[in-house]
Amino acid sequence: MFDHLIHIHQQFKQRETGIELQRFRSITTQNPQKGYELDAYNEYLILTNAHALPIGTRIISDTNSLEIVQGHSSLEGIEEFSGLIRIELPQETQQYPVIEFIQIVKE
Amino acid sequence: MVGTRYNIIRLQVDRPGQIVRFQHKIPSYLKRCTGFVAKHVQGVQTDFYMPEIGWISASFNSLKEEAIVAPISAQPFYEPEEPSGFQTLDVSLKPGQLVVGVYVDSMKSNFFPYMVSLYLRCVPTARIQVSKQTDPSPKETKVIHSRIDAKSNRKNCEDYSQEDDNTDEHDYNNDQLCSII
Repeated sequence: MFDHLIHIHQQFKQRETGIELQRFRSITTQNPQKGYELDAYNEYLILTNAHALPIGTRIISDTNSLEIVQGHSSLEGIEEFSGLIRIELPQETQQYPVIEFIQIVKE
Repeated sequence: MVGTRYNIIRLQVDRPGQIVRFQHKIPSYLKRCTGFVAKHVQGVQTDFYMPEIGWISASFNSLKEEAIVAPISAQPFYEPEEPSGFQTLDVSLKPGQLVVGVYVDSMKSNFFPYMVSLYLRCVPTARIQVSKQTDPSPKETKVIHSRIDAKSNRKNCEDYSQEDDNTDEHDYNNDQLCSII
């Protein structure tokens, strides 16, 4: 069974970056709002439920960007974002998911 | 003589809002990147200057160092291309690792497929380290500084107290400008 936390720890170990804080952070999207912004300066937000997001959702940040496409597997969706993060749900969506991140504050 | 080498990363954008990912391995003999230019090179035809058609971000040493976040602009076709200088970069490269990044298109209208290039200027020499003998250790520096600060604090506070004709004893604290009674 693939474990998000193990993967994240391996990633940061490869980069020789220590982790000061690790916790869960989620954004609850609500009808009819399509756009959301959150700050993650000097920290990382790692998306853990890409598979639950509507096709066409875009997450744009200062360091990484992602658009959910058909067949986006959960492994590919473990993406990290940092800086100013903007989440855009597709205009035609009827799905308003809870977007789950793991917040990592590095040393 | 230092041999400067330029790495070029070309990114093709085919649809509005496209997110283009890239990764590029810089040759192992290059030790340091000293500059970059990210620019639109082909495709967008415009009569006016477009300050942002998208933006690029890149990290070095396999995600260890986030070093570049830059907007990409488009020049009007009749304006001669500026001999745009490289923006300064100072990244020490670890051997065998990747430059990883994304380009995000932000053109709102009149989209044409276009191409963006990221030029990295790198050199095969590492950063010159200052020898330890000439440079006092950080610990020593801190001690000296704190002594100087304490002396100047004391002097300033004495001046201050003399002006006020205040002859009370003071407890000197290095962390504050003047002691508080």
